[in-house]
Amino acid sequence: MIRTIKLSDSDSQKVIDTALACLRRGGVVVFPSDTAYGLLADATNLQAVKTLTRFKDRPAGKPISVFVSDWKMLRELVKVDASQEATLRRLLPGPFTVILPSRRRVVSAIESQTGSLGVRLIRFPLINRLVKQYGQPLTATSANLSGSAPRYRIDTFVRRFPEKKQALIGLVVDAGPLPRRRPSTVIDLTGEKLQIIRQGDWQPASSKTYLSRSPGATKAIAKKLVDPFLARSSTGPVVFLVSGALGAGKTVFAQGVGEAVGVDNVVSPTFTVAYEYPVRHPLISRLIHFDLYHVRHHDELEHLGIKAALQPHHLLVFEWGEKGGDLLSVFQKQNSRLVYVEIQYVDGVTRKLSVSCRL
Amino acid sequence: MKILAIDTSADETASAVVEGRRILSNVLYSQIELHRPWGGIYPALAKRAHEQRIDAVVKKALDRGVGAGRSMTKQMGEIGAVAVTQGPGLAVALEVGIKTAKTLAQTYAKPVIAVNHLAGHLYSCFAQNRNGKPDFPLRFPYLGLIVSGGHTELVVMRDELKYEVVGQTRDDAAGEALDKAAKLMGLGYPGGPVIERLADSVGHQDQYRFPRPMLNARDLSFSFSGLKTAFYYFVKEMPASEKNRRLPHLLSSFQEAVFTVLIKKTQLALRRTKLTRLAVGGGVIANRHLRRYFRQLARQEGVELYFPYKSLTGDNAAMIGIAAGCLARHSRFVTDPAALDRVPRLAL
Repeated sequence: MIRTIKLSDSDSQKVIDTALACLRRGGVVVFPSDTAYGLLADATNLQAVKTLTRFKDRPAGKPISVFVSDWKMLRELVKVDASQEATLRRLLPGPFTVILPSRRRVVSAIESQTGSLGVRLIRFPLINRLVKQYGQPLTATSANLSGSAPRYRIDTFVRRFPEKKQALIGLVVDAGPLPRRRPSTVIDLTGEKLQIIRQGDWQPASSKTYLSRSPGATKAIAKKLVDPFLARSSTGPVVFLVSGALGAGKTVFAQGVGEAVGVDNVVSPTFTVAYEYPVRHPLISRLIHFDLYHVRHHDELEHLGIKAALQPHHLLVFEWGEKGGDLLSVFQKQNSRLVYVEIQYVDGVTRKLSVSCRL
Repeated sequence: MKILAIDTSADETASAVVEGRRILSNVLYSQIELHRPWGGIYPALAKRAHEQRIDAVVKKALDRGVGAGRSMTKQMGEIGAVAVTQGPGLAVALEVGIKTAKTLAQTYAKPVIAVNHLAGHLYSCFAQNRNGKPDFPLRFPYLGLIVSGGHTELVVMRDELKYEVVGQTRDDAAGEALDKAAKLMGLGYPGGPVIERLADSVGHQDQYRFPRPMLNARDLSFSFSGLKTAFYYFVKEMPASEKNRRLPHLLSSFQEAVFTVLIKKTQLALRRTKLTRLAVGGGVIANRHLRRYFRQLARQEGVELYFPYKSLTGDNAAMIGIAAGCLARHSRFVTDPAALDRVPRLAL
């Protein structure tokens, strides 16, 4: 019987404490992450890594990336030169795995044969807190056997294994079903040129960063961003996925998008989940503004009328876009033009807007 | 004329029978219990729940409003018109109410009245019980304030049909701001009542003096997103133990910031419009402390003040019926009910 604890907001520190104790004993912990459920083990503990590879049936020589808690830990594990640093600053923290020359601080079995190591500095507070408090890098491999699909829910998954396998898992932290997102995009920075090893949901190639020092500036950035996409709306909808903490300025951004097509009365749709606006614009006929703040369960996304809204000449803005992980495939089927916008606090007035779109 | 009213604009499935301003029945199938585990309106559940419950809720409204133990046909025989909320609200939820209203109207050959949900909140202030109490007459014009989870609007009500929005929120509604502050502190949904309790417990002190957004702006617009940001920043770096210890004071101060803006803007609107009657509706006015503030304001400005009964502060269908009664008096029926469609961002 595997020990399982359920995650709820109120006792997250207790969950972390339990996981820490298990990791210190060299145990393997099934833990939610930014992509799927992950298998966490101390990347500096040979026994722990062995247990992990036994569970995964991982062929020898296939590297495993690690979670780090911050830039400091990242630099302790891998070598970063100035040009790599510039690239990293654009990508991290984010849904990427970055491969860099290892400083040989971790168990060699998880490094590549050429001595490089995949590191992940993600935006997922629970993992960040756990790694920080543990003080050592933790393995960041998904909770599946080698060659099978990643796991987005844990209850059925665990019970499926033979007891011998189950015995290798020290603890399962159950956070319920996770949004279905593709694995991280893996980027190799060890060569002359940046190389994408595995394509996840995000693509760094066309990303741009803007700084905004006022709501007015955020709106202006939004307006500028929208324009070039409007012409492409004749073949499919234009969809902005806007993420960021509470109060970062997601609604302000949506207001800018609205103003770009002549809608000047956009307000927060949090309470009603979505607002539609008829648009008088040569290229756009409708603006639909969603707020997924209250949506927790991906089943429910089907009933919001999203599919019906994904039509040519429609402009859509989603707040808390990352919760729409499941929607990505829906967007693609409707030939949507996707633009990701992440708004981060820099200080009280300044915001960093990271904009990327799939090519 | 008795009106059967339906409201499914957000998370309440509601139906009522009213005659004039008299409420003969008012049935809510509150979905709050259903929503709480997810911390907010849960849209698909809301739609499904509306669909599952609407018929039963309407039947109950008729049973209580025109008498139980009779066939639906007999009950509908006493009804003069069917009123329904057209917007603003969640499109998929509004659709359920509109579809039901259309079907009823067609089956029993009744006219349809399309009502703006916000007008409903204003008319909730003028509701009477079954016996017609309180029996004050309507004396337009009024200054109306709607303050709820989805809306913060100042409205001049010239007469039964003519409204003019003189101020509204540029971003978040007041109730939404309170909900989000509660959520930031790890409290459940709805956040308003919890904040009220905690603020009561510390005597509504304002230790932290959060910013009062738009207070110095000369217009009547509201904005609460800046306050939300300030609050987020203030508690972000705070250790959990300290956050818990300071919880009542933090939320009391937050509530004071929101309420001060509501009161000051209303005061400005009263002075600008020179109106002498004030009606405040919407879920946030359930807060007793805010009611005290408005009473103070009314005394200070020498105006008459109207609130809804606490049971009519949240979304309900009785208020839709009362607003519909005014439209009916002016024969404002929907000319082509089959073509009636929801308008999610319907303005007053």
